[in-house]
Amino acid sequence: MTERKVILLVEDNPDDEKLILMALQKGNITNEIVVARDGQEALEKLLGAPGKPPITPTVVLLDLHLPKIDGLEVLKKLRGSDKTKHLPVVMLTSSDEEGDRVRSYDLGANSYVCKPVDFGAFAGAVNQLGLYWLLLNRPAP
Amino acid sequence: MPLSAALETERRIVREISAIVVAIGGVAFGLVLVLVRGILAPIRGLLSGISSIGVGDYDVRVPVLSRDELGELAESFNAMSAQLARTTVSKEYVEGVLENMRDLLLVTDSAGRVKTANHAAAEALGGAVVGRPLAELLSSDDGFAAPKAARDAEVALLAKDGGRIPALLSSAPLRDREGRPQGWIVVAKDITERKRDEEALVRAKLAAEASSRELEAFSYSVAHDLRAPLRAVDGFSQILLDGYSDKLDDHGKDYLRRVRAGSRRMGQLIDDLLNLSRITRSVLKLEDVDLSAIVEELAGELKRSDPKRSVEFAVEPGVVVRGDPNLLRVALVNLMSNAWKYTGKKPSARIEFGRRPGPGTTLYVRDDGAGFDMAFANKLFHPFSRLHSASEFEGTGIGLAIVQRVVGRHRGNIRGEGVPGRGATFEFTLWEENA
Repeated sequence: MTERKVILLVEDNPDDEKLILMALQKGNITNEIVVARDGQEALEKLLGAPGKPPITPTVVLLDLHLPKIDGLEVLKKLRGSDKTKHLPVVMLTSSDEEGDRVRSYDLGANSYVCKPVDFGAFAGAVNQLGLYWLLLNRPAP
Repeated sequence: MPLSAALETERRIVREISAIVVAIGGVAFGLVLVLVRGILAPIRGLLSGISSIGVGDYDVRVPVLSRDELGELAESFNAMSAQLARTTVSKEYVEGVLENMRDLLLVTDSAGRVKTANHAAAEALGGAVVGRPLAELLSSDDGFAAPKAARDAEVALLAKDGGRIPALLSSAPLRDREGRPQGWIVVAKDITERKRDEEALVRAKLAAEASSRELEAFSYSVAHDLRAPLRAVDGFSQILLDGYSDKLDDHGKDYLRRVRAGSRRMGQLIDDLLNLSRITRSVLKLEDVDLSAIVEELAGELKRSDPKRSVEFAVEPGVVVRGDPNLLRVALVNLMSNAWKYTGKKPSARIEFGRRPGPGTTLYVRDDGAGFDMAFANKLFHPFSRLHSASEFEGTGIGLAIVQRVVGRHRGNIRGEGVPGRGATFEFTLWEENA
């Protein structure tokens, strides 16, 4: 039912990447998940790079702290481009700091989710996120 | 009468007259002597006394040599000079004060040219000050190109060696008896030390702000960097339990459960620490807060969390205080959930909230639960220190530390009173004058 929809996961921590993939799998979300491990790679995938056509995921799960270009900078660049200004971007981060939340929303994040330490809660959060953005949310045309 | 007889008579007359003249001369000489001794000497004494006063010596006394009018005059003179000495400040005295005062004193003519400078002024400004215009001796944002009245104006005195001495300058016009301007009197206080202290204070403040920013950055990295590995520990333990339980015996599974419990507890401690530092860092937003309404709401939530429990809440209505609504709520959440938690082992319990009568704002939360031993009361508010074991009552020991910080940020104090097995009362004040 959601076969062609792709999720872009921007995550530099391999443990978190593995846990998120397992949580999605556990929740029977079988969509393709493309992983970018730093901000630059994420931008190349979304905006395109020489020889690499851009992808258009249904939702981007974006970590805040990333090597090379951090999450907020990535978000700013995405909102600055006509191609990605309406792309659903969910901040998925360890930080529960007010400042990070405010900056994320200022820059046009669609959602902000704090990664819980407890795996049960974490898996639940990731699942709900996947289901909501893949099934319920109607994107801009 | 024969001639000789007449001549004899004449000679006798001449002799007598001569004797009379000599006698008169002697008497006159004696009189002069008396006059000189009795009148001129006291007058000379008076004269020298007057000239002493003329040069400012009010301690002079003239001898009283007789009991006549001159003696009285001398006595009057002495009384007058004593009176003058009492009521007049001597020139030496004034000069002594001016020379020895630490503040700089300059007297200028009406054009602002220095006429007199005390020792402190000469020392600070470097010698030859007299004759120079005041404007050359200082620099100021207000401009003292022409002298003017000022009170504690901040200026920089220009020392001879090129240095600048920060100073507070006051000046006032000097006038003669008819009110005509004569010049200016200028006093300047060297505030180098005060400036140095102020700068040290500013530096200390900057350093404190820097370390507070460092602390914030530290909290931030604690939040982000410590949570991620914990999530891995917890997550992969859970995946092992879920997917590999057939390969683990009961001991193995028990150990994994302990790993998970530990990681979750550590996650809780990190969150607690961050919450505690957030309480201290957050900006206070003051408004009128209805504490009774918050407590009623919390009581409702607690009852719904465990409907089987029989707990009576006695909440004094209308307790409204000035404070930060978010922080006060955090404090009440902690106090109320403590009361709820520590009455958990009783078949029925009572939790009270109210305001003590009297001046000031004193509030309390009381329960009739497990209480505590007053011997350990000093540990109540230390972060992560607990008076009950985790197996007895759950918790990390952060709650009361948070309450204390909230109360402290509202310039209040908190104390706890407990009796083991009988209950605990937490009483806190807000906005204490001397807190």
